[in-house]
Amino acid sequence: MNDTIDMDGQHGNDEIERRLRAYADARLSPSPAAVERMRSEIVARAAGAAAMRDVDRGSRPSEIGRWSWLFRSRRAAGALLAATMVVASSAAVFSATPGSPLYGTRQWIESLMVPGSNGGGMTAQLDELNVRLADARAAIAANDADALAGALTAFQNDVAVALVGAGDDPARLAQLESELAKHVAVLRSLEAGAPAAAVQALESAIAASSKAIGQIEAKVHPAAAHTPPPRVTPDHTPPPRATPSHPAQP
Amino acid sequence: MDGETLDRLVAEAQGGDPEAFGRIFDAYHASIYRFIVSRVGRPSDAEDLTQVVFVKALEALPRYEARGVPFGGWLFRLARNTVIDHIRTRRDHVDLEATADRASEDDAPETLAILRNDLDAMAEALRSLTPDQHEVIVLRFFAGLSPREAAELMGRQEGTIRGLQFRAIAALRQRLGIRTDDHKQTG
Repeated sequence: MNDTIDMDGQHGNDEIERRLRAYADARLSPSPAAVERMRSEIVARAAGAAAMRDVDRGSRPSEIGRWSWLFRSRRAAGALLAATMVVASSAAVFSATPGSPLYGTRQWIESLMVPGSNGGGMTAQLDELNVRLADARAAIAANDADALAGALTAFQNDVAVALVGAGDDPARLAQLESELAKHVAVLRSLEAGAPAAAVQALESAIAASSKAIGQIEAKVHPAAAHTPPPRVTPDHTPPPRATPSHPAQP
Repeated sequence: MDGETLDRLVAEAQGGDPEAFGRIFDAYHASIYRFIVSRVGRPSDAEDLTQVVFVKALEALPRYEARGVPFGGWLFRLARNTVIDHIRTRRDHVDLEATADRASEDDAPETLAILRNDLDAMAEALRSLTPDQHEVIVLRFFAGLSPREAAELMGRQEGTIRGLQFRAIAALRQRLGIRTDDHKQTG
């Protein structure tokens, strides 16, 4: 935004600008009481949202169900690892690229740092997937098939984790499905520039994403998922028998 | 507010600092309100919608990333969409001239009368503009957006915005009887 309006070479229009400003001040300004009321409400909501986020971070969502032990142990391991990392030289781990011996460690650490399956957790997991894709892109740019394979293997692992994290929550599932659909498109676009040796890894990642989308569809639309696909071959199934409208008398 | 300060406040607000979001509100509420009230007319609606815009911004803030979209532009896009949604559902707008004058409470009665006449004349002149010209005036002069920001918000080229502004100013000038050479009102 700018405070001084450039009149674009229209010299002598100060009067118009002055009048417009006067008009805005007089007729287009909220009352001080309204501003105070709005501000109080907004800041209160901001404080409430921050408090809710803190609660979410500290609680274990019940819908994780049988996977809760996994997330609990991940958190404990994450805390332990975080302490260790202060002592260890963590910079090298976080800068590890796919194909590097430390890449697996980096991936593991990053997965431990993903929060639980609340809304923030899903966002973090999707971010992690995007990081893997970025790693894959970088590997292709460097023409490094091993690095690409490493990034895509990590990507597939993260897809599985994200699917578990989404649980049965329709909103998270929809968010994940939308993101995975984009990832499939990105992976297909990467195939063109990938080293020949890495195409198989890309195909595998695409298959994993597509399979996850299918699993999400099955969760969200179970009836549709179990409906057999329409048959294109002639159907020789005999027509259903006509049932008598009245049961036979004994 | 400079960009660096704004970036810091956005980051702090994203981190859960309510007062940082309050300062963002302080920086933008007037321009957002002016943009909204210019479109919907009724001040009470504009106050409600301004609050809605900031609530939406608060809810969307964790997902906001300053990748090519400045925060102000992002906020005005929320405001524009909020106004469009409101206009879709409510058609009973009031004219801006029906709104109360706020900047004139301490003036003498005769000054008030002159000021009110000037304001009424401006309201009438603004009504004579085309919708695009009117929106450019609102965004540039009332909301304080740059030509580039207004262009992004309206989905137009910057040159188009400058052209619309040029013609809008000329139309207002003619309508208000303001000459370009000495700025004197002739009518």
